[in-house]
Amino acid sequence: MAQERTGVFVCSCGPNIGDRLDIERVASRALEMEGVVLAETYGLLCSPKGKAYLEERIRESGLDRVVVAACSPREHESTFMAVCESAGLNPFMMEMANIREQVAWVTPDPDEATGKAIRLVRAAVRRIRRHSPLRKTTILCDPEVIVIGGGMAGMTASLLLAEAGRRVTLVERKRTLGGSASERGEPDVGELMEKVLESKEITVILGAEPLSAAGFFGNFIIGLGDEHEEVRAGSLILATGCITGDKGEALPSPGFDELASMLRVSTGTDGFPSRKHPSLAPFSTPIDGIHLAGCARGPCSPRDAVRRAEAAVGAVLATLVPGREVETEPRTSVISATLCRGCRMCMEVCAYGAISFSEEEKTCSVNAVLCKGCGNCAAACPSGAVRSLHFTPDQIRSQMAGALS
Amino acid sequence: MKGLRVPGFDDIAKALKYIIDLSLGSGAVSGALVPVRGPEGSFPWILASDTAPLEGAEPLPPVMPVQGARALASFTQDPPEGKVLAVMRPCEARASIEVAKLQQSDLDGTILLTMDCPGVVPLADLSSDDSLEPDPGDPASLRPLCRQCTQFTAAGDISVARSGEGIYLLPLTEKGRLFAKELGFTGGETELPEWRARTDALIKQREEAALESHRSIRLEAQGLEGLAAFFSGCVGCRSCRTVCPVCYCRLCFIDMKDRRSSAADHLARSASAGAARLVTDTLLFHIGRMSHMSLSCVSCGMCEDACPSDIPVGRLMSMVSVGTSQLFGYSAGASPDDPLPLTVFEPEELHEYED
Repeated sequence: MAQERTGVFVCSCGPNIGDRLDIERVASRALEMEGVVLAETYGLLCSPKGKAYLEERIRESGLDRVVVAACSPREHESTFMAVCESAGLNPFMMEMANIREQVAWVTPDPDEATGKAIRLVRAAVRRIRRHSPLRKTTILCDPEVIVIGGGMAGMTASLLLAEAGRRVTLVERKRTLGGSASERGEPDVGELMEKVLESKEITVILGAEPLSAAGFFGNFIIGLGDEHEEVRAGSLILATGCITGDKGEALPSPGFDELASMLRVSTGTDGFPSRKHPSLAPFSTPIDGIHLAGCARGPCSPRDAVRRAEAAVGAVLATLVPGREVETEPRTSVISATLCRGCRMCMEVCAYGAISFSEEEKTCSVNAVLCKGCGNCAAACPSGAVRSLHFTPDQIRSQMAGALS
Repeated sequence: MKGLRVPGFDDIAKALKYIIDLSLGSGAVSGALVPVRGPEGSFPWILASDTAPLEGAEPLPPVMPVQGARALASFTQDPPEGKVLAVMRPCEARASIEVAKLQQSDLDGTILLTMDCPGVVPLADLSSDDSLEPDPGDPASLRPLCRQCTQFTAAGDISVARSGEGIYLLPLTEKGRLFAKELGFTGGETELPEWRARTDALIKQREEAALESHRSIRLEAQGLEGLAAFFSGCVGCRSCRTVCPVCYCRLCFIDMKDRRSSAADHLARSASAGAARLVTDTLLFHIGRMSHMSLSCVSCGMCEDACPSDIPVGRLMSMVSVGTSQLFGYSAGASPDDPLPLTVFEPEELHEYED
C-alpha cells in the first residue's frame, strides 16, 4: 500500500472529553499507528476556529486521510466532511471515532476510558486505510408537480401552479372531477372544473390512482397501473380529502393509508398525515417534496380547503425552484450480477424501491439515484452479492481488527 | 388425515409406479421426475416423458445419492410447459419448497408426490453390501438423520401411505386434490386408523432419538474448543456444501477474495499468540454454513452422507436448525406461504437475547 498520510485529531469537546480521559495519551498512541503522520489534540474542533484550524492542518500537512476522535458522527460527521471538502480532501476520506457518547460519557474510570478511546481510534485508523474517495453527483430537479385528488383543493392547487407556469398532472380516481364539493353542489365547482380542463399546463388523468411510488424530492416516479404511463414530478400535493365515519368522526379517504405508506409519509392516531412542523411547515409532510392541500390534512370548510391549497402551492413554489439540483447519496449499494442468484430478499428489505429484478438476467440491480445507502440489502443478501460502498467487508474487518488488537 | 383408496395394491413402491404410469399415460402430466435403477447399483434421477423408460423406476431406492430437490431445481428455474410429476421423499419435497421460496425454482407446474418414507441406508454401507435395504423398525440400518426423522410422511402436494392392508392417496394441497381427481380417484376419503397409530408411535420414538442425538452432539461440540475438536478431521473438501439441496450461492462466502487476510495480518496474529493455526477457515466455514443454512435445513442428511471423514455434520446442523427454527416459529419447506424469517421485520422480538 502506498504511503498514507493520516492525520488524527482528538477533540477535547470543552470539558466533555478532556476532563474524563487522557486525550494527550490518546494522541501520542495514535502517532504510533500505521499510516499516521500527525496526531494532535484540540479544544473544540467543531467551533469556527476549530474548523479553520482543521482545514489549515489538512492543507499544510498534505493529509490524505483524517480521523476525528470526538462526538457521535450523528452530531458532526457532516461538519467535518464539509471541512475536508473545503480543504480539498474527498469527504469520504474522513472517519470519526466516537469517544464522547461511547467513551467519555459512559466509562467512569479515566484509565479504562483512555484505553477504550485508543482502541476506537485504532479501529478508525485501520478502517480509513481501506477507504477510497467517493464522488457526489447531482441530479436536476423536475419542476413538474403531481396533484392527487381532483376535488376543490386539488383543482385550486393545480390552477395556481399552472398560473405560475408549472406543468401539473392531476390524478383523480373517480371518472369525474369535483370530489365531495360537487356532490354537495358547491357553487364554484363547475367553473373550477372548466378552467382545469381548459388549462394547457394541466394534464388530467381520471379513473386512476397511484399504485406505486419511487423517488424523492426533485424526482418522484408515480405508477398508475398498467393502463397509464408512469408520471414523473419533483413534488406531490396530496388533496385526497376526507370522509365521515360511522360515529360521525372525520377519517382520511379510503385507501389513504396505502398511499401514505407507499410514499413513506407517517400518519397520526387519527389516520391523517403527520406534518413537517406544526407551525413552521403545517402544509407539508415530513417527507421532502410532499405537501398537503384541503381535507387530506384533516377536515375543514370549503373556504379553508382553498386556503390550504394556496399554502401547499406556496410551499411547492418556494422549494421546487426550476434548475435546482439535489445531491445523490454516494454511499450506495451495488449488486454483483455474477454473484446474484436472484432470490430477491434485497427487494423485500429495501425501503426505497431502489432495487429491481431482471426477469431476463434473473439478477437484481440497484438504482443508484433511489438508493440511500442504508445497507439493508447488503445485510440481507445471502449470497454476498451486495456491496455497500463505504461499508465494504474489507473496511468493516479492518475496523474490527483495529478495535480488537 | 383422510385418504383415497388406491385399489389393488398393498405395497407403496408398486402403487407409486402405478400412479406414475397412470399420470403419464393419461396425459395428466407431460413428464415424471423419478429415480431409476442404473448400472453398478446406482440410482440416478430421470425425467421421463413416456412410460417405457419407467420399467426400471425405483421410487424408493435404498440410498439417496442426489437429493431430489437438487434434481428438480436443475430444470425448473422457469416453470415447465405442461405439468411435471416429481416423485420424491418428504425431505426432498420440503427442500424443493424451500428452494422455490428462495426463488431458485418455480413449482407452478410441478406436483410433488411423496410417500411414507422408510428412510435410506448410508451410501458407504451400500457400496460394501448392495443388498442392504432400509428398515424403519431397525434404526441401525438407516442413515443417522433418518433415525431421528419425524417428518417422514405427508409432505408436498399429495402423499402415498399404507394403512392396514390398503394403499391410500393423501391429498395435501388444492393442487394435490385436483391431481387425484384428474387420475380418477374420486371415491370418498376414509380415515386411516392403522396408519395414524403406527405413524404416531414412530414419530414418538424418533422424537426421543432426536432429543438424545441433540443432547450428545451439543455436549460434543460445546464451545469453540469443542467445535474445533468436532471438526478436527475436516479435510476442507466442501462436499457437505456441494450436496446440500438448499445451498445456492454462486460463490460461497468462504471462497470470496476479500475474506482472505494479508500475510502481515497472519504474522501479526501469530506474533500476538505465539503461533496461528493454518488453514484458518475450517471453523469459519462450518459456523458460516450453520448461520446461513440452518433456517432452511430440512435435515435430509446429505451432508453427513457425503463427508469423507465421517464427521456427524448433519446431526450438528440439524440440532442447530431445530433451535433456530423454534426461535422464528418457522419450519423449512413446510408451506410455500410461510414467509422466510429473514425477510420479515418484527418490531418486537428476541427480547430473550437482550441483557
